[in-house]
Amino acid sequence: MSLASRSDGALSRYFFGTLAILLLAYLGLLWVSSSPYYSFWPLAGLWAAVGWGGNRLAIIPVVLLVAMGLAMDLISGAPIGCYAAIFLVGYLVASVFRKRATTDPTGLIRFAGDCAAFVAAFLFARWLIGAYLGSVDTREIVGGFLSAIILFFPLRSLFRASRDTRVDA
Amino acid sequence: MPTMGRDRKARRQVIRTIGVVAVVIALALVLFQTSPLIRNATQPVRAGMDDILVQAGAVTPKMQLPEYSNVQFLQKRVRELEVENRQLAIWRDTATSMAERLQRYEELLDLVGEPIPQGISARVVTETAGPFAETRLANAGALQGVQEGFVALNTQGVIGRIIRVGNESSRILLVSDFNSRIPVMGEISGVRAILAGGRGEKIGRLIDNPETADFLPGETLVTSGEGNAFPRGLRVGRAIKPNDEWLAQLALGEAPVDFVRLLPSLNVPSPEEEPVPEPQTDLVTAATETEDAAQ
Repeated sequence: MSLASRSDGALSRYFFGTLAILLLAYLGLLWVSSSPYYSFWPLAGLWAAVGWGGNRLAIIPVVLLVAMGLAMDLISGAPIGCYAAIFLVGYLVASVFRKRATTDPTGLIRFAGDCAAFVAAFLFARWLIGAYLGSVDTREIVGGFLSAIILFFPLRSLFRASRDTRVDA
Repeated sequence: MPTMGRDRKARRQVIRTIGVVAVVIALALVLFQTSPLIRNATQPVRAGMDDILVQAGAVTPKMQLPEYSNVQFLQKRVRELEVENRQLAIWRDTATSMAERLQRYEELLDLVGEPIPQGISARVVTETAGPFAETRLANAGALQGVQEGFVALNTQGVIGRIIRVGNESSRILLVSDFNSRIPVMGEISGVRAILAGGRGEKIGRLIDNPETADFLPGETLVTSGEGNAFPRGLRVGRAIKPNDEWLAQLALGEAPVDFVRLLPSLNVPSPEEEPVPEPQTDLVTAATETEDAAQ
């Protein structure tokens, strides 16, 4: 049995999710204007981390998140490993809620799990960035995370790695 | 069936462990990079990535957000600019006249003048903002003669300096970056300070002010040239005091950063770096003896 057939379409979902984030990073990079909109694109990888964390744990998303994190580190001037660690924390925290979320018809647990994953990733990022730089303007990180969270919910289905509707019930 | 369940559980456990180990490895990598030696080792990879981004940016048309405005506002703005233009024309004539007088004075005093820097113009193709770096990527690099330490200016003044150079790209660390430090002084008051970033794209902090005197409100801040990193006299912004603290309203926020001029920093070598060669005593003695013998 091939990997693609065993993955129940998850491979193509991972592929399209990764592509969407890289495309957003590309657009964010080229958005050279004095726009008032906050540039949050390095955190867009969290959409994939939290979305994929709602599905069963697998090695492919871990590898993809590490690769995306390294790309974001190189592009955004962050120390190598920083965004990879932030994405993985979001992924692992989201996965903790997976089992209960699939048995909850209201979707509240899934929602709470997603929020918890974003909050955990934020606190981790706040600590990591503060520890590395010595001081940090928290407002800037809060702005980026809030933008990522607000946009995650309408885009969540793009980062669903399963056909099981209970994951995003 | 129970075996399958156990297998799945074990598999999940393995993947979770891999995830945790990956986080720890990533954290260790970040920790290692607190050492400048290791951080510098990643520079070639980052410079290569910058080159790729510049090439990607070059093939993509530049995007701008749509601007919603009305005709009345534009007409009012045109009138304001016309008035400003007339006033500036008077200042231009005065400046030309003063520049000529200054040149004559310098000739009379036999003053050692500073060479006019030959710069390189470049287009900014990408931006990087975030807690770690406020940088822009320009599409000129080592092949065009750009070097680390070059000063980047837009139409209003200094916006940053080059911190990394690729073959066809260079990364500009903006003056608004948390790590940016520029020695500045008030153009009229002469009060000196260090301009530090970390307060957004429009405002900079003025720290390490060694003098007790105050800046003049609204006076132009220029580079003081201390430390040889920036040439003296380049406009950086204006001094403002919204509360009890003196701040700089940055030139960076006054105009779009689309095209930039990259100027070499005037690196004046210290006497220790460039000592005057001492005359070789043996040769001098030999020449004197030869002259004596000839006489």
